[in-house]
Amino acid sequence: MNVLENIQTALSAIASNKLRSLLTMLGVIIGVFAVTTMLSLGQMATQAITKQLDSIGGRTLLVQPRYAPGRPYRTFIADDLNALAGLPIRDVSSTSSGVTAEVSGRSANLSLSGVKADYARQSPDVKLTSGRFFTETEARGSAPLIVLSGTTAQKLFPQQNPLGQVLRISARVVNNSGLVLQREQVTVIGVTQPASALFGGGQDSGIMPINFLWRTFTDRDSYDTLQFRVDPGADIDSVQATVSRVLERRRGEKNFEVFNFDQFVQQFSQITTVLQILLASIGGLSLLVGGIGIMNIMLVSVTERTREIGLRKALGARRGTILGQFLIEAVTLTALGGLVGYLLTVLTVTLVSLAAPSFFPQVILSPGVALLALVVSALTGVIFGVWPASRAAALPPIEALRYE
Amino acid sequence: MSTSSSDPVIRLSGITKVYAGEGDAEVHALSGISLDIHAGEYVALMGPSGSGKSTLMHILGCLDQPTEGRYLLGGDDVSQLGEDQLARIRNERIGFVFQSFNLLARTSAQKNVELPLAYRGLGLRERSTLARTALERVGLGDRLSHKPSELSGGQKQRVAIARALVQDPAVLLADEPTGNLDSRSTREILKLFEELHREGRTIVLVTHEEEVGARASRTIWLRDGLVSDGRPVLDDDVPEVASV
Repeated sequence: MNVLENIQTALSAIASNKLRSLLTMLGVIIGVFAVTTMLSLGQMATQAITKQLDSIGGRTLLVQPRYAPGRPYRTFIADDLNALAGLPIRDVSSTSSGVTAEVSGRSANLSLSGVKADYARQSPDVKLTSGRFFTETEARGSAPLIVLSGTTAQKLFPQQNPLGQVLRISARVVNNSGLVLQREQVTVIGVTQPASALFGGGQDSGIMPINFLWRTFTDRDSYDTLQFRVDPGADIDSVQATVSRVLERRRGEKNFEVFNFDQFVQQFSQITTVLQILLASIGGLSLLVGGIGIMNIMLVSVTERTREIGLRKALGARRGTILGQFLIEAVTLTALGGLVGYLLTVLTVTLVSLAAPSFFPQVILSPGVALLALVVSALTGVIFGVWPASRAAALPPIEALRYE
Repeated sequence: MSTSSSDPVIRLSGITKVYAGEGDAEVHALSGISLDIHAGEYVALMGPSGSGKSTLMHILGCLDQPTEGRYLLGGDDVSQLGEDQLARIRNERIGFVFQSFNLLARTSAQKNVELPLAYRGLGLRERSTLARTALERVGLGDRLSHKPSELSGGQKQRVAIARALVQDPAVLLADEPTGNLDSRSTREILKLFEELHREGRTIVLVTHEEEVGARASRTIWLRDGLVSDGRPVLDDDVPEVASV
């Protein structure tokens, strides 16, 4: 009696008790489903984030002021940039301001980014769907030109071509005479692809020359954050240390943070790993419960089939033969459950990717996860099948044959 | 007891079986049985309930081991073998036929008959050929793929007999093989046993029905765990016992 025949016997036993088998497998199905879905979604999210961070620029330094209670919040100024001029970095710093945009009865709260004249050249990842960026000359001249994100353009100009349209933008600013409402009119010259929801893509946004923002909504020559592309070949960590040292000297204290995106990637993957472990262990609990269900039903099955076991022993089945038969039956049951669970995962992951393409742009079904599903479910069968199977194997043949 | 120039297939000497009863009490199921059964004999093992015939049957079938005594099966001492060795002996030398047929449900007649061969490790093709031959021998060549639920009682018992024959055993042990059958099927099955006997099979049949026992060529009577010398032990009217 070989393994294949035992599997065949087990399958026909499962087929003859369809409902019971399904209910028994349910725990394993849910457990495997939970574990593999969490792992797959985690992988997909990590990959999406990593890709996006890479497209922003893996070798990017970001400097942000740190807010400390009771201390003045200080942004960066143009002189800070000048002090860093000797380093192997390119400045892509920007400033931002929240404004209200209005056009023919529709309005939106825009997050406005003021960017440098060479922004388009330095940011190959920002893709236009129509129109153009402002030229460097326009940018230097602080021209009132705006490039809107795709979703914002859709929202403000649902029926018409946004290019060439005039947008009224306004924001409250502090100047010499106190808080005043500053109003401007800007012309739409371009529309970009909607940004990923992971990076504030859900928010309405637009890009304008930084000089325009300095002139209208923000302090002249100030930056909320500094952002640098580190030249290829330069050591990002030592550059980061130098930037930090220079700025600390200029500002008198270390009231700011320097990040690079590699750190973000690392932090993010740490977070997703912890989440994955957490959720997968919940799945593991379900597997435990499922395994106990398997053990229960196998014990019932051994009792029900006491006479059969006696007969098999009378016909020459050894202890090991019976043990193997029942163990294979348990493993077949759980492996089948694992397979069903994994197929459900494939289905779910695909649906999730279709429903939320900005968070999970690509379906990842790694062979490792599939293998894990199979191994874990089979192992559940072995662990929880051993006891019932060894009880079956230990039955003395006469007792078993006499059993009614 | 008959004697023969050849060595007996079964030789029991001083077999006892003691079970632990309640408390310190011991139950002596067999109290020292010695007997020989020769190749080609058709023996009926009879006795009232409690006489120890089931216990003796289990020991003969290597399903159980004696407390004391020696059991030579085909010249080999099997009274002290381990569990797996006994399983092998059962597989190769003993063919069982049970009162309640003990066929695997949802399994075709042919697959049922193949089962002992599977435990012997034979290949699929060889099993299939031998099983078909055995089923044809018992007249069920046209019922190979029938499930037990699709067969009559007599047919089920014939499948069980085929399953025993396919092992080509040294001894065919039948435990009340007609106990669950109507009189017509009983006649059929007994006729089959007689044919097998004529073909030279060694058959040991346990029964409490005297007309069934009377068909055997020798009757061994048990009473209180002892062989009662081939004589009827009941007060009832018992037919004469043929001797080989």
